[in-house]
Amino acid sequence: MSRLNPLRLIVPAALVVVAACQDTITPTAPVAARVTPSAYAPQQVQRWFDLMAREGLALRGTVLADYDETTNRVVVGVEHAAAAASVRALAARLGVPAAALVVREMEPIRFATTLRDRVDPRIGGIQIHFGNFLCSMGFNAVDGGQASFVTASHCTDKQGGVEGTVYYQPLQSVDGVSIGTEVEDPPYRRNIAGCPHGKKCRHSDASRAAYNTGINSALGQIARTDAAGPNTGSLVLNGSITLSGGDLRDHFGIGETMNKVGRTTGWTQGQVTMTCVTVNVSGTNISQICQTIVENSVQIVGAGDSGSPVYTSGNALAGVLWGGNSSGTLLVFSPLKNVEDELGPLQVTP
Amino acid sequence: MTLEFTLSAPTRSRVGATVFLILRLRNPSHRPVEAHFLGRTIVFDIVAARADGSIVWRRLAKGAGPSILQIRTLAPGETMEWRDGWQPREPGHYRLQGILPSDEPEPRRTPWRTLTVTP
Repeated sequence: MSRLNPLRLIVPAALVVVAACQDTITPTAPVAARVTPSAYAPQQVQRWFDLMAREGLALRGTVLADYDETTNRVVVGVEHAAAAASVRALAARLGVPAAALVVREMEPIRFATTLRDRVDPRIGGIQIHFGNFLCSMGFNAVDGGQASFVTASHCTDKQGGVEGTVYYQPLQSVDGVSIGTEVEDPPYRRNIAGCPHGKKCRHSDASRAAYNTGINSALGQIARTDAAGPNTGSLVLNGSITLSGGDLRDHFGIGETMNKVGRTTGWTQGQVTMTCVTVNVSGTNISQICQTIVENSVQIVGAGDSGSPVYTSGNALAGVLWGGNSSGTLLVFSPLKNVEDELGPLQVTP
Repeated sequence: MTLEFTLSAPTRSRVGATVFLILRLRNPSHRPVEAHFLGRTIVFDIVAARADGSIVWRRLAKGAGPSILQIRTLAPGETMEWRDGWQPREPGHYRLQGILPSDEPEPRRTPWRTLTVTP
C-alpha cells in the first residue's frame, strides 16, 4: 500500500481506515504495480480522481478511492461486482476514460472490535458496566439451569450481599438493554476460620449474575485477542478460547503460568508466586482467604480488569481476578474452587 | 480535553515534621470531562525521590486493591482533591510527584515538586 498516496486515499464516511497504509486491505485482483502508466496528463487524472472520489464513493459498495501516481490512474476499491459495474457506469457518465480507471474488488474496512466493544454472544474477558464502574466479565456459567456469568463481588453495587446490580455490555450508553442482574453474592463475615481479627472475610471475591432473556452467551468461551503472545496490551478481539474445563485446585504450583483476559490490559500472563494466601484488600476492612498471587516484571493487570477469567496454560478455568498492586505487575485471583464453594457448583463448559 | 493535575506541597520542611501533600485534578474547560480512576474509593499514589531518582517513599508501596474502574465526569471548573502526609527521616533535597492510576497504559502524573528537608 505504500505506493498509495495517503493524502489522496479517500474512504466513504461510513467506513473507517484501519491502518490504511498497512496490509489490512486484501485486494482480490492483482496489484497493478507493473501496469504501464496511462498516457493522460497527471493533472487531468487528478481531476478525474476528484470527481470519482466525490461522486463514486457515494455509491453503495464502494470502499476507497485513490489517485495512484505510479500508474497515473484513478483506483476505486469496491466490495463486489455490482458496485464495480456502478463505478464504471458512473465513470463513463463523468467522462473518465476506462483506460484511466482501475476498479478493484476488496474487503470492506471496518472498526476492529475490542474487548471494550459490544460482543455478541457474551464471552469471558469483555467489558461490563454497572453504575459508574467498569469491570470485566469473568466466565459464563450455568447454575441450576440458569444461564449466568460470574464476575468479582466488588463489581456489584455493594461488595457482599445481593442488591440486584444491573449490568450492561459494553456501556449503557452504547447498548441500553441490560444483559443481566446480580443474583448471588454471599455476605462477608467475621469470625470465620482463617479470618484476621477485625476483618470481614470470604474465600472468593466473586458474584453471579443471571442473563436476561434474549441475551446470547457462549458457555466455555473466553475472549481471544489478536496478539501473538501475552502482555502486548492488545485489546483487539480475535475469536475466542475454548475452556478445557474447570481447575478445582485451591493450591497452585509456584512458578506455574497463569493467563487472564480483561478489558484493560487484554491477554496477560505471569507466574504463580504465592498460593492459598490470605490477602488484606487495600483501603478496606476485607480480607480474602486462600487467594493466589501471580506476578510478572511487566504490567499484567489494570483498572477495569476486575472479574477477569484466569486460566491455566492448558486453558482450564482457574479462577476470577479481583485485584492487583499499584504498578500492575502483581495480580490476585480467587480460585474457582473457592468460587464454587461459595456460589455453589457451576457448569463452566458445555 | 486536558485535565490539570497538580501536587501542592511546601518547598521546605524539617526531619520528622509531616509534609502535607494535596493532589488536585481540575477541569479548566467549559465542558464536562470524563475521567477514569482506579478503585471504588479512588486510588492515588505519591512518590518521594532523592535528586538521583531513587525513591525513598511511595504511598502505595505495598498491598493489593480491587482492579475496578470508576468513571467520573468533572463539571466545568470542578476540582477533585486527595490528601496525605509524609514524614522525611533524613535531610536532603527531594522531588515529589502525585500519580493517579487509570485504565491508560501510563497513569496520570503531576509535575515534580521540589522539597528541601533540613535537620
